[in-house]
Amino acid sequence: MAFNILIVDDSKTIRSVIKKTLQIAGVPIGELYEAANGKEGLSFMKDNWIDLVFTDINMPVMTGIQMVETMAQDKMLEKTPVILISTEGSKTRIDELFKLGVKAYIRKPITPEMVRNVVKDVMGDYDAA
Amino acid sequence: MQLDKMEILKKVCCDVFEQLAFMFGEDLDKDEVECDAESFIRADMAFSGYLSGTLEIIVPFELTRKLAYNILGLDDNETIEQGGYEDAVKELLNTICGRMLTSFFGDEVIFDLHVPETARLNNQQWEALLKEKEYLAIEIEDNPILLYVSF
Repeated sequence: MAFNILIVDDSKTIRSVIKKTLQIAGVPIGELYEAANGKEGLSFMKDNWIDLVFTDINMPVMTGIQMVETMAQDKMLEKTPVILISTEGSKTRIDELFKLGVKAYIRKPITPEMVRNVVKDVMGDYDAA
Repeated sequence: MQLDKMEILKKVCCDVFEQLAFMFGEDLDKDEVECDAESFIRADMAFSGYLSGTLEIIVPFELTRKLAYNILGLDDNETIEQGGYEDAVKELLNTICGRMLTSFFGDEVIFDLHVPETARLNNQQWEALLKEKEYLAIEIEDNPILLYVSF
């Protein structure tokens, strides 16, 4: 089974890094979408079937926090798994985001091992499928 | 800035260069800095919340090429899009900022990190900043880097 993945980050460099890291980690990818902020991300989620979202927190236009808050209030999106990838180090803030439904958190810089482990935790062991 | 915070910032910066871009750094005495590079990228970003302030990094332009290629895992024969070098320095700064704030203030307090901005500097501007005592220096693969934080 391949996952349709959405990467939300205002840095094109980081979107490319996440994309490459997913490939190295062996995550089965169906469609891969990219958005530069939370607003664009929500728009992609409404127009496409997304299995998994990777998002940064601090972005212009709409932050990752605002995007997750909006998703939590939307019946169609509330169950879409979200993984945070951020430099954020505040346990207090991360805990708040987990309460909103975020499934996992990876602190930058990321490695393929981190991504592989987190995706398996959230989506199940894709190697065994 | 307190001496211990200066040392922490230098260490965080070296660690991030290593983990993000596989580039290795060490402390540098500012009196020993010599750099004839013609162009530099300066990135700065604000943070707010528990405390407000700014963090700034200045990197010789030549080093930003290697930084961007290493972050993206590109081969030398691959090309990078316009703005890619600046984007790499912004991401470097963003990562340093997040790590620095946790190292300084712990993980219970909340900060908002604002979007980094970049500008080009020439050698004259670099030399002027080098003389400012608040700027710290480290060396990354034989290239001097300047750092500045205020809060």
